[in-house]
Amino acid sequence: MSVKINMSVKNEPLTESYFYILLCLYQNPSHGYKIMQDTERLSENTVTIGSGTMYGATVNMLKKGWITETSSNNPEDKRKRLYELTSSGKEILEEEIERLKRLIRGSEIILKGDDK
Amino acid sequence: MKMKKKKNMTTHNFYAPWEYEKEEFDLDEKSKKGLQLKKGGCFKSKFYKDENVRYIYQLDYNPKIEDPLQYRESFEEQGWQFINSTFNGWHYFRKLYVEGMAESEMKIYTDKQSLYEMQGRWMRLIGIVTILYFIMAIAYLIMGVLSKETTILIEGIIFVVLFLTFGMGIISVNRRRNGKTAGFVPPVKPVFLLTFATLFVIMGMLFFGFYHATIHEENFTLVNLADENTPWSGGTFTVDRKGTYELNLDFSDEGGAMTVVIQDINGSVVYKNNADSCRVDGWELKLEKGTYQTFYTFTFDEGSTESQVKVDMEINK
Repeated sequence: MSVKINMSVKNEPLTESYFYILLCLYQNPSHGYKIMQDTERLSENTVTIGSGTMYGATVNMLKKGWITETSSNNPEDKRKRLYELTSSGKEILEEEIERLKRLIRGSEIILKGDDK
Repeated sequence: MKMKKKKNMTTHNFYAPWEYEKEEFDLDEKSKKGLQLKKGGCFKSKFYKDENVRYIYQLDYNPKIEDPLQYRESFEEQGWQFINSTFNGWHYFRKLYVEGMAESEMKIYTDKQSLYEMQGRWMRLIGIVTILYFIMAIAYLIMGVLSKETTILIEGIIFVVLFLTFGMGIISVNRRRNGKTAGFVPPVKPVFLLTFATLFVIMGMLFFGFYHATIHEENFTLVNLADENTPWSGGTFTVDRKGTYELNLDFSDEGGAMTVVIQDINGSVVYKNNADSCRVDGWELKLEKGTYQTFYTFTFDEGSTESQVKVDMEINK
């Protein structure tokens, strides 16, 4: 049922869950629970990522090579599974942010009434 | 603290994949009443009694988990306790119920994409099963009509019911995805009980020989025949299974006599009767697997002007 995306075509917009997971990993590797908490904070409590959604998203992104698993240097976090953004994951996220910025720029032109 | 003796209870319930939310709801309701799930299953679930806690339940479907530890951790870090998995890939989780819990905390799937991915995993299987039921229904109905055997027709109807139930199940999932109400879907448990009971009865009837199916029939009237000594072929029939069959025969030859012969493909006679008229009820015919033929020879008395031959034959299982 999954639709194969032709790579020459633009990437599909990310779902909010995928976007926030990648965003939460942008600066540092993180683990599932922390990603969930950060997502709630960053989205002003409008987006929650449930366990099933989180598991499905991380498995998919590991397969796509957007994230990898890594272990922590911090002894407190030693047992926790950490996820790290890969260069292709970073690229996907940055492209998505550019797309969102374009949407905002376009919207603002219309909202301000600057369109000729 | 009061120590309560734990009592176990087993229930036999059956839910179709598209009824998984109903199962979650039923588990929540049982937990409210103090019955906590110990082990969930497709046909049988075990509970224990504990009235001091209340859980909420979620079911996940994922038959291909590469890393079970990563899977469980994803749930445990959000307070979901893993209960057990079924042989076919359903996983039971529970979380302690807290008054005023947010809706999003009570669900394991929080966006449409991931929810549809989970549903899609079993929808594909259900789709294949539905198509198989459809093919079986058509095949049995055609066979039933051609062979005029009631048992095959009933089996055909069973597959029609199964096909409709599963088809409506798939339609209901799609309707809800499009923001409509689920619509009517026959509950799977009674449908399954009914179909299995019917199959069981049919098999029992065939096994104990209560059921009589006609495998061959001949019914004809001939008038003004010439005197014939060459055997007149009535028809052929095939026996699928070796056994004892029942012959019912009623014939008359006004103005003469006739011979009725049933023989196998090699010409060995298995039944022979020569008379003016005769009526045989429930004659035991021992038949091997194979093809058989019926023959009639008619003779007429000299001077008889009008002749009429009537034959009514039936061979039953």
